[in-house]
Amino acid sequence: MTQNSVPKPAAAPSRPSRLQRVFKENGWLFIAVTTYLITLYLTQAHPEWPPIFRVALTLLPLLPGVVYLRHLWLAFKSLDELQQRIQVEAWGFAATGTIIVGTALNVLNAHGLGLENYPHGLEIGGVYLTMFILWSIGTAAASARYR
Amino acid sequence: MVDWHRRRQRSLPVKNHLRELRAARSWSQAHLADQLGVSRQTINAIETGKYDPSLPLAFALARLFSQPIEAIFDPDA
Repeated sequence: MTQNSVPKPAAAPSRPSRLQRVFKENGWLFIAVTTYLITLYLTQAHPEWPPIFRVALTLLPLLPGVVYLRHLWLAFKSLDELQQRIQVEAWGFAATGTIIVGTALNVLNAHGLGLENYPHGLEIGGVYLTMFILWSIGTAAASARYR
Repeated sequence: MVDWHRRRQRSLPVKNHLRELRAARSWSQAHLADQLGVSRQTINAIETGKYDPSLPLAFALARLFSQPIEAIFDPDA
């Protein structure tokens, strides 16, 4: 190769596909859920294991969960100020709505008027699902308000 | 009741002349957004009076248009 040869133009970076982006953004959530399912199976399948070990195993999914929360926080900080406000409003709406729904179910249960499918209130899965649904509604509503 | 009404009036967005200033330079919303490092939706929301920018963004706008902040944002309009 001579010194005067024209350097090749750098190849344009390939854009990640939507699926790749979704996986990259939610990879730690996927790991947390998978860890939860594995530890749930292990703790139920091995009740003879020492309690301290079972407690540690049960709490293990919190580690990838915390990493995912940090990832969410960094994503939030990278948004511009209007998008941040929209997210704050959406999360506020989701948190308030979940508290209201959860409290309503618990009060109904306490008075013997509980729904058959929710004898113990929302429980952890229900809390996440309710928050996610309300967050989606809140994001859509707040975005529409500033459009 | 009167206090509530006054408080509600005070919370109304501040009027601004961003659209006129941008149009005078033939800039698109996307171009202005790029220069300020915000989204086009933010510029549109400010122009339509649906969103009041933060103080740092207001100063950035003033610097970009070489105008004092009061010339861009008018709380009494």
